[in-house]
Amino acid sequence: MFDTITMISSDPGATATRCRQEDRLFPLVKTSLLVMLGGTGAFGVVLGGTRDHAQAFASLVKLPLVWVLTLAVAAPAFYAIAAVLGQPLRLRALLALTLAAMARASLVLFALLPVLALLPDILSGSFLESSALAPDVYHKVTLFAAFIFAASGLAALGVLLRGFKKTHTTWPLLAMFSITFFFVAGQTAWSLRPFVGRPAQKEVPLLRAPEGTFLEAVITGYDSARGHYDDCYDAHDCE
Amino acid sequence: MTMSMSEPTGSPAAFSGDAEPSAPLPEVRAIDSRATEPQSEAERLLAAPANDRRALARRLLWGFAGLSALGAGPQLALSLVGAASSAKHGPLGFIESGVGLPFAAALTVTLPLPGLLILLGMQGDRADPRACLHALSRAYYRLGLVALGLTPILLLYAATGARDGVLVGAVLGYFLAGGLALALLLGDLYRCLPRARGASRLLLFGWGCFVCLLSLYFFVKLQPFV
Repeated sequence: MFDTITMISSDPGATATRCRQEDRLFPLVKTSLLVMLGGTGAFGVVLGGTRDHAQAFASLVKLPLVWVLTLAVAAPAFYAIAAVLGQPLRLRALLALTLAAMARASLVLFALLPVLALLPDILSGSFLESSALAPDVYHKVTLFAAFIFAASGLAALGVLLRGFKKTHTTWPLLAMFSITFFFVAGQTAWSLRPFVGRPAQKEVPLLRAPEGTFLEAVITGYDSARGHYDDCYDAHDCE
Repeated sequence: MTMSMSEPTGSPAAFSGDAEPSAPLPEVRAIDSRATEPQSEAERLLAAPANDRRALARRLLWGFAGLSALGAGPQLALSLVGAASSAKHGPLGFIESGVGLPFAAALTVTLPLPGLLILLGMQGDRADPRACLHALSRAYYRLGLVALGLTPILLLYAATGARDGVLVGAVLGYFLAGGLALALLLGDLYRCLPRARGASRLLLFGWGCFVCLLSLYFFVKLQPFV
């Protein structure tokens, strides 16, 4: 298993070739899945742990679930896009390739965990005494977590890029994969929120009620960051 | 004496003076490794020859199934979560949506094809109708495949509170997938032309623009949720 983890982290070319040729896929898929669950679970613990233990446990369960659901929902679209753009990968090879890519991304998440764990204390200036997450620190921590996710996404793209036949459609294909992943992972994560919980709230629910799409939330968040607040939080209740 | 690529490097041929270099070139290695890779079902169907009727039937079936799923799936999911406000209720509405989209797509490309063949023939670039129909079936399959891939994503959005925006997503998905399939179809049709003149390229481009317009028309006419 450690050899496979080493291969996933340091040799994306060999990982991609093994997926393409469907060579010993089962151990590769099993290891990738374990790495993905472990990496994202650990990230969830640290991210939720910036608030309290209950939130750490909730994020430990929810963050790996986001990735698994994303893979399940996006896999048919990945297969269709790859087939239409001339990549002769079978569904099982494509799933293994995507899983290996996600495992590599999870390793990046795992590698950057100490930074995320330290960040709230550094930003709030309380190394010795633990204190509740301040609102301004909360926003910075969530933004930093988003940056770490983006960095891990780049690591995943390295595997995907090597898994595809080099043609003039390879880059458009990668772009379509990224867009599809962005839309699916964004909505899945939005549906399973909160992962940290707003500092103003005393009790954080395990799941929030459905409130439109994450794209609407991004627009609302952008407006809020610019100081434009909507009086009505849930647009659907205002109708 | 020449050595074939499959001979081991330790064979007598490898040590003889007139033997070729034992290690194959990187390109040859790459081609060899690609040849050993299993081929997907989609690749097999797209690469099947024009006279393979079974592959043709499967392409059309998959295309129809994918477009049906995209036509009826989001509406069905919205009605299941109780968020359908503009969608037609009842099984008849879902059947209508499920059948409307595949027919709209099929009519969009098949109706203007004879006109294209006539105009191409008039300028001395007579394409083989069978090859053109083969290209059409490939485009229909590609469109259906992408539509089928998009359906679970739209179902996710419908189930997690996106409401009628899902229908907008379905429309966008149909036209984006259609645009991609049309672009690839134009390339396929261009390769069907025996002389491939510049004027034929221009004609194909014009035909593509007309197909875009026609797709809007048939979509509005045949899709009940519009």
